[in-house]
Amino acid sequence: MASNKGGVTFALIIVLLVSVAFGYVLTSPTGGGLTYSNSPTKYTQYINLGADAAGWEYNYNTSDRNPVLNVQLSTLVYFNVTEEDGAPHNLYVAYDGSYSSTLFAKLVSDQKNNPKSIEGSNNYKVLSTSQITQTIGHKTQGKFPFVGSKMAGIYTYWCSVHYTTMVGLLIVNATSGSTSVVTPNVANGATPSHVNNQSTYSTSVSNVLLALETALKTVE
Amino acid sequence: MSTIDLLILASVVGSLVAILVFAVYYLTASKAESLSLTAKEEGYTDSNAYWREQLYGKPRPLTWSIFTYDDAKSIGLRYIFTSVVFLFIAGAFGVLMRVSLFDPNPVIIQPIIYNILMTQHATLMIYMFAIGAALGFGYYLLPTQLRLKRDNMGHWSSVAYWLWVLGGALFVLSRSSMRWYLYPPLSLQLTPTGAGTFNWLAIIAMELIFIGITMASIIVLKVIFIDRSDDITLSKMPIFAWSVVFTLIMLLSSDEPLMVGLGMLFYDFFNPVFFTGATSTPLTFAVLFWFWGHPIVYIAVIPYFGLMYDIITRFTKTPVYSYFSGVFSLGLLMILSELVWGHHLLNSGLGIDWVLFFTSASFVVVIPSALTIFNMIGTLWKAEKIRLTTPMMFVINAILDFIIGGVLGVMLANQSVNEVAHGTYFVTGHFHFIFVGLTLGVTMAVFYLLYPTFSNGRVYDERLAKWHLYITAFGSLLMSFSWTVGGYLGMPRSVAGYFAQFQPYQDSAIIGGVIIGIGQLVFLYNIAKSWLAQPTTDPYNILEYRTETNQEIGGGE
Amino acid sequence: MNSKVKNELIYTIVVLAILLVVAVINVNYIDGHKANIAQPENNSTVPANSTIIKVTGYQWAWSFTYTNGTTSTDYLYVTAGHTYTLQVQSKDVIHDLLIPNLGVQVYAVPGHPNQVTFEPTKQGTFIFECVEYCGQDHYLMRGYMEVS
Repeated sequence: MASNKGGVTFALIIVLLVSVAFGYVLTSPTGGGLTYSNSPTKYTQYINLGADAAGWEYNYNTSDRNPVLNVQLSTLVYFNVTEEDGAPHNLYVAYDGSYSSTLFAKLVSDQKNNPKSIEGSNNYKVLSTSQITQTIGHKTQGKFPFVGSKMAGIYTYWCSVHYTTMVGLLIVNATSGSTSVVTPNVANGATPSHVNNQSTYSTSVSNVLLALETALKTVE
Repeated sequence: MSTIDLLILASVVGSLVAILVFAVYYLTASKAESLSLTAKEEGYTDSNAYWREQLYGKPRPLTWSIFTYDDAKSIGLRYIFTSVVFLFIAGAFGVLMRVSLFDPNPVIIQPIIYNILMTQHATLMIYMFAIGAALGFGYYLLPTQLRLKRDNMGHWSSVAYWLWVLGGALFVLSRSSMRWYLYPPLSLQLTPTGAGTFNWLAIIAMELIFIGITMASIIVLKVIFIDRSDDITLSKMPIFAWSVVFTLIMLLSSDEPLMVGLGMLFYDFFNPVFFTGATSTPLTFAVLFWFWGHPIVYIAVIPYFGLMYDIITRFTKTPVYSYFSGVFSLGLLMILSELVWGHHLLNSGLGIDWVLFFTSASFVVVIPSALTIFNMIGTLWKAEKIRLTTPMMFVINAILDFIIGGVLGVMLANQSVNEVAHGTYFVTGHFHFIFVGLTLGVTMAVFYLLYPTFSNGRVYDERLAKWHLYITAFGSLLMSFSWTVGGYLGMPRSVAGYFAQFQPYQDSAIIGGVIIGIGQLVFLYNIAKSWLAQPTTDPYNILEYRTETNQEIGGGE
Repeated sequence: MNSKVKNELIYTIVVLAILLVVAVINVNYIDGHKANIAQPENNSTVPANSTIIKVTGYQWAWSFTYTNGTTSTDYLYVTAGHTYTLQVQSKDVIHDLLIPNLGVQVYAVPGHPNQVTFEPTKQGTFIFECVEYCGQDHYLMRGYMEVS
């Protein structure tokens, strides 16, 4: 490099190494892996969830926390999420494996004792923190199609911000008409199956008022 | 991607890497062969020793052969240029972090990647850039400044250098997101959402970096104290040599707690007994860490003080205002800065007495810093004429930035301010004033001064260099000032998103950060462009080679 | 004494004097606000008129438990003109609770509960946040304090 190319070589080395380091760091795995499929689905299902840091609530403002959800294969599921406590929330779904009672029991115990194991790499972000705004009573909708031959089995749904409390299981049944087969009695208080809840989604002001009332009660 | 595609890709990449590795091996081996033949003809059995003697005391330009020779100047060049490479890598990470914060929600990059960038930026800047450049300037300048009697630790220096580079590379590869504090239990969470899946590799990488810099420190101290020419007594050493002495003593006396702590942390991956066990608290690690973590920020400043003294004396043709007080205050800074590490843990619940002692001690450490700055201002004051070359202007900018950052530091030492500002961008603003203005600025000043030697007699473009200075100084001021104001209002550091009310401060800091980035690109362009010209001057520089005029003024009176 | 030593003495003394003043102010502040500085949890050092709020930090939320047993997450409800003591613990990693408008800062360390006392004076909504990096969603570990 006593020649006059020394500076250029040095600059090129810097550019090369910076690009390699950039590419390496920016391609770090950040989840994902579960893909959104555009194949046509047979059914549509609506699931109403309330986002509360103490746990996902089935329907708005109930004490039915982190329910086990049942879905039939080839269903486009709409998750209607209502913000309940003003904390930031999001909704992830991850595939854990095909259904077996041992896997189910393991997942339930993992959720209770070792909450970190739910962070599967095979996941899909249904709703982000900015979609579920931190406005109490705000409603938003995300969807995910459980369609394809390999899509039956047990899924975990959770909020990545409050993954120790806001986590539950979702079961996709392969055989048609078997939606009522799985009615596990879960030890940690999760109530069993909610099948094909096709409630229409109404945005009523009363829910907002209800939330404010609860919030005020807590003030004391 | 199917298995066959994967295999094809793996074999193609593997072959290319193998070819590259073999080519590098072939080139270095044949070069070493020819060097040892020459040495043998001269009657030497150790070819490295022969070449160290041949190269000793001569201006050493940058060539590929710095990797085959292991004389002190080659090692110095390796350190200087590697640290500049890491400066650009870590700086690019920093600029990307800035840009990603233009929206209160993380929309450009995922929080996981933001956290990796944050960890890498901090660790690489401190361990690979600040310490690396300081060691590099020590290796490069001291042999000629102190007219060494011998240069015989080349093998060890080379090993230390490679351990340090290996550590830095492994740290990038680990994709660690534990922040440079490496507090357990977070650093023990081997998940992408915690400290990163391969965080254990980051711990090993840190340990390698530590072994490398510890070895190099011992060698440089040996060079200064034992190999120094007989006619340069301690009281005649340039202040830069003194600053390196103090820095390295500080480094050697405070990095052992963290080296031991890292070993214990690594053990905790398998059997958590030390920091997360039933009878222990993670604060134990925090104490071990800050016992090293506070001196490290002075390690990134003190050698640059020494270089500032040297540059000022060269461009004002005036002796240092008070050589004794200059050396004395740097020594005092070394001792006092080892006593204030607790001020990083004021709010962690270690008791009122802890707060009382460490806040008061933090005020005391200001005295030597102030004396140093007054001494520099005194030198400038007494000068008949100040030559405002680019390096000199970098130094003046460094003094200004250090004063601002230092005053912010004194504010932080107040418990009433610390309760509000600790953990916010106020702290980030405080140390970026100093690190960008002083550490980066003085490194660039010295780089420009040594450029004719590096490039074998070429001169850098003065106009571009001035622009580099103006852009960097303005960007640094804008960025750090926005952070300081925002931080005082409660804007937290190291976050991938923030409350929308802080957006004005973040956005103006982004503009500042991008401006700093552009400034460094100007520097890179200047280096490449000026090198293409033909040599027009002698490959000497005024920092190393004393002329008649500055023979007397570098050292004591 | 030549002029150089005199100058050096002058600026050393000026620096010392300024620092001494600031240091005395600081010691005075610490002495007068002992309860407002983060310290290990100890029910005997809680001021007599103070209401205890139990705070738990976990990845990535703050939960507050009040004396009547109710719990709120990421929202802290307090009344102006009343003294509160936050007793802070952590479930997983080190966190750091900062309420910037009140200058309340306390680490949440697993296995090392801390406490800090404060008295809100102004009504309104204020922010609080975690300022010790604690993993992926560290930036979302924040909330609002409602002072009524």
